Amino acid sequence: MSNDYKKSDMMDMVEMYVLGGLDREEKERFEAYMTQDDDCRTAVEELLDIIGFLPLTSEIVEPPQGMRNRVLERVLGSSNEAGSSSAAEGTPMAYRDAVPSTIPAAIQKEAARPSTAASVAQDRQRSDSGAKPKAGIFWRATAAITAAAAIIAGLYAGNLQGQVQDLQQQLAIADSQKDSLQGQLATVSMPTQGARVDEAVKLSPAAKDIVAQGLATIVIDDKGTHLLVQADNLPKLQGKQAFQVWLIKGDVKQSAGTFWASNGKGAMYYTFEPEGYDTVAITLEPDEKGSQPRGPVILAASIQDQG
Amino acid sequence: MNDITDDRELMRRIAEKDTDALEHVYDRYERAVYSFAYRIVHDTMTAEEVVQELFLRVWNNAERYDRSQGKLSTWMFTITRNIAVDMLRRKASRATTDPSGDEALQVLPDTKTNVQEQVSLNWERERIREAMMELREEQQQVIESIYFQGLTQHEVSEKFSIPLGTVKSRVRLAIRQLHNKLAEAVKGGNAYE
Repeated sequence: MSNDYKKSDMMDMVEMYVLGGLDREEKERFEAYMTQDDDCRTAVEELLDIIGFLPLTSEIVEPPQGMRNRVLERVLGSSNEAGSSSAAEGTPMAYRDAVPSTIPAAIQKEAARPSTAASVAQDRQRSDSGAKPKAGIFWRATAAITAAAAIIAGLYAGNLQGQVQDLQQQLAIADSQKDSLQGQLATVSMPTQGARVDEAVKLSPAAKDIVAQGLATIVIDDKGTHLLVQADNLPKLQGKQAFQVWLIKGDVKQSAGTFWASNGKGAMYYTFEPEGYDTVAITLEPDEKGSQPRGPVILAASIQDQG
Repeated sequence: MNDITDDRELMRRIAEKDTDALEHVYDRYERAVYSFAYRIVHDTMTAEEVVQELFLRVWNNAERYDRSQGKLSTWMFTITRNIAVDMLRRKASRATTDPSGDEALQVLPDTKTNVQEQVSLNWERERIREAMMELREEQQQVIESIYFQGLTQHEVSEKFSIPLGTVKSRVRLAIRQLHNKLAEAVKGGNAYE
């Protein structure tokens, strides 16, 4: 078949093929040719990962609540309803094998195992109580913050009691942290003693080769909401470099201040208005004057800003 | 599970029906694939259907994933697009956009997972957006029409009343320009790895 088409014509179609702009006939013709031309196939493979970046230009849209459970329950519980042959159309051939239109019977049987259903049921139980199952440290930390805030607010009283009870199981994990947070909050409310940083959210290295560690604590008192960040083993700064702390909500990054490290240790304090921030991160910046991140992320953690 | 767990290892485990591995992959990609699907179908329920179909295929066909064919994110995005475009075409004759959808989306956001990955992903997101912004407007238009709206090159030619050859050249130049801008990021991996 390859003899029927000029190589140059086919190579000119590579970009359109990976983008998905060929119609069915063109695509089948191209794929047939590609099986016989290594250059063509290589050119396609080189561009696939570039195309893989395009979805990242989409605005972040939060999935509907409960989607995780619905999807996983459906996938693990009734995979025999999956698959539609037409949906595989338009798939670059390199991926077509990964998207067959029928589901192997053996896999269907496997997917219906009771153990997987139990996993989902457990998952749903966790979610229904108001918390999406996450990595342990994140949950324990956020649960601790939730617990401390709830206690300070008088446990919200009345209609929130039911929710608090539902959370008891999770909160038990955080009891020790809750106590320390209560102590911390009490300390912060006394200016003469100053703020004392305690564990709330662990800041984790953003890359394998980063050895830095840190803590981010959110403290709420009658003066407002405060972010306390402490980090150790930070990389050595050079020239005008500085560390900068960011409060992040989706794609929006709000500077929470900059600091310099001493012997690898650094800390800062920032009072802010809760805006629903979901992440706190520390970057290594070329200087302390940036309004948006310019350098790499050193540490990061999820937070649960109630804004 | 370690956040840097290799995608290949995760897919191998999924192929062996390890539900923890599937959940890990789900948590890693949920927001990205949902946002991508929503961009194509503009409907919350349909976007969720796309995500469900995607993970059905991941669960049932994980053994087909081959790292040499590209990153797992690329593989999943490709499948996501195919499912979404297919749904879009099947529902083309009906109204698919829920006017209240955008508002409803923001009411009850799920808590994020994999924070480090998410932060890094935001950086990657900025890089591709910057690269896209550097494309000429007409180049952005053809990419939007083909990749995100599911049109073929012929349909784009017809829709915008431009010669087919012009559509082809715009796509070719745009993809090459993106390749030049992003090749380094591809080599270095991205937030998913």
